[in-house]
Amino acid sequence: MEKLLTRIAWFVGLVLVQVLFLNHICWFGVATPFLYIYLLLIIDRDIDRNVLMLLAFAMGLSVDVFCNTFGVNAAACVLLAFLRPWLIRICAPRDEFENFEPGIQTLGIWSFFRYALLATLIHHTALFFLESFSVRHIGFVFLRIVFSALLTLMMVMAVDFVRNRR
Amino acid sequence: MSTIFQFFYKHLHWLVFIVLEIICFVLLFSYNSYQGSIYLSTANSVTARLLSGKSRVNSYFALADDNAVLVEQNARLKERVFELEQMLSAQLQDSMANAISSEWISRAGYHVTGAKVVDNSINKTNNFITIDKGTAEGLAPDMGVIGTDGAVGVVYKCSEHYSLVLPLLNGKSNLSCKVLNSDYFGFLRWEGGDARYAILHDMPRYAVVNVGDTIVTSGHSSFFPDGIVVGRVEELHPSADGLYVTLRVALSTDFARLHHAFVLRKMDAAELAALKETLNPKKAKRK
Repeated sequence: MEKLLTRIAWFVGLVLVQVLFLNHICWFGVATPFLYIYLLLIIDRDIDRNVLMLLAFAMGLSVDVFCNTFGVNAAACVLLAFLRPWLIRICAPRDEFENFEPGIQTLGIWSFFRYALLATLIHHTALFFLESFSVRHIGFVFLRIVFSALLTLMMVMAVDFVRNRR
Repeated sequence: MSTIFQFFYKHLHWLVFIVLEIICFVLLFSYNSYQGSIYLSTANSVTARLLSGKSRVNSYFALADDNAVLVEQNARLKERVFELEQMLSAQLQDSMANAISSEWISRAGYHVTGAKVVDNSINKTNNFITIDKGTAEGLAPDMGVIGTDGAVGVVYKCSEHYSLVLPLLNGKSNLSCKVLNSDYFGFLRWEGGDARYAILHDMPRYAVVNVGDTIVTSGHSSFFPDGIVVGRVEELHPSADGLYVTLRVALSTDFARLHHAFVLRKMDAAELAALKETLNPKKAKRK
């Protein structure tokens, strides 16, 4: 029960931070952080895949509503949620029988970094290609993917670091 | 039978994944035609209220700049009013000029509604602007929107108290523009990237255009009256077939700092007739 409440708090908090502040960041005209995917990264490994996808859909759609992107964020998040079990498997090679929440503490800093990097790249690639929906400005889209992913990754690592310090 | 169920259960996540992605794509492609989609945008009352609360906080930080701009604009408007009043009284040569109230200082035939920008983006391929006026204030889709410095865009969808504006910085925007003091016109589109520039297509090759010329609305669309400033010519590029010239236009509106917008509402026929009558009282009397 307590876990559910914390998750709801994370959900609301991350969506609010995303739509009120982060969406308006656009460093050098290319980099926008999408920190809200952090929740999809840290939810415990053994969560039902379908539940995770529904959660991702709800989260993406709430962000979509605030940036007039009509399903783009939702599509990218569902894709990330769908691929997540596979990501965890390749980034945390040791066989854990017990359930755990992916994070710096449980995976170690490098494994978590790899995991977050792959997740961010998958999400951002889907997001920016769906958003521009053309190959005309493919160079610019790649630039946005790379630099936004860097910014998101930095924030994800920072938030996870601070969370574990407490 | 049970093996079939087992099979489905085992692969349920594929089904959920595909269904959810299909929903996303339907949203992505149908929001244009489906009027209900206004609820999935920043113009629905919950999101708009949240964002307007935030923009109210943010606007305090821009107050000094905003004031300077407004004062400057007021001064220019006053100047224009005096000029027009003078012209008018010279024309009418009677006391009619006093009756010309501020109600229609706006370009003849258009009502002007001031609105605050609640939400704005410049970093996407399809940007939108949300303003805090809606159907309750008489707004409707396809009305022109201008800022303090020039054209901004066109009203796209309205809820009761908020509207979504399709700005020039949207891939779907397509505005008919011309070079000031000439009749050559072309279409202004934004191709993504830098929010300060847009491209004017289909200008005939033989049109006399120079770098630095002012680009204004052509009046061929019903959204804008003739002659609203859009931008300045920055570069000229001949098209591949040599028939047209493409212009890179520096937009006069700074979309990154847009806080106020004015919606232009065309008067209906009856209102227009009444206005014309007050403008030409002599003609009306003679009849």
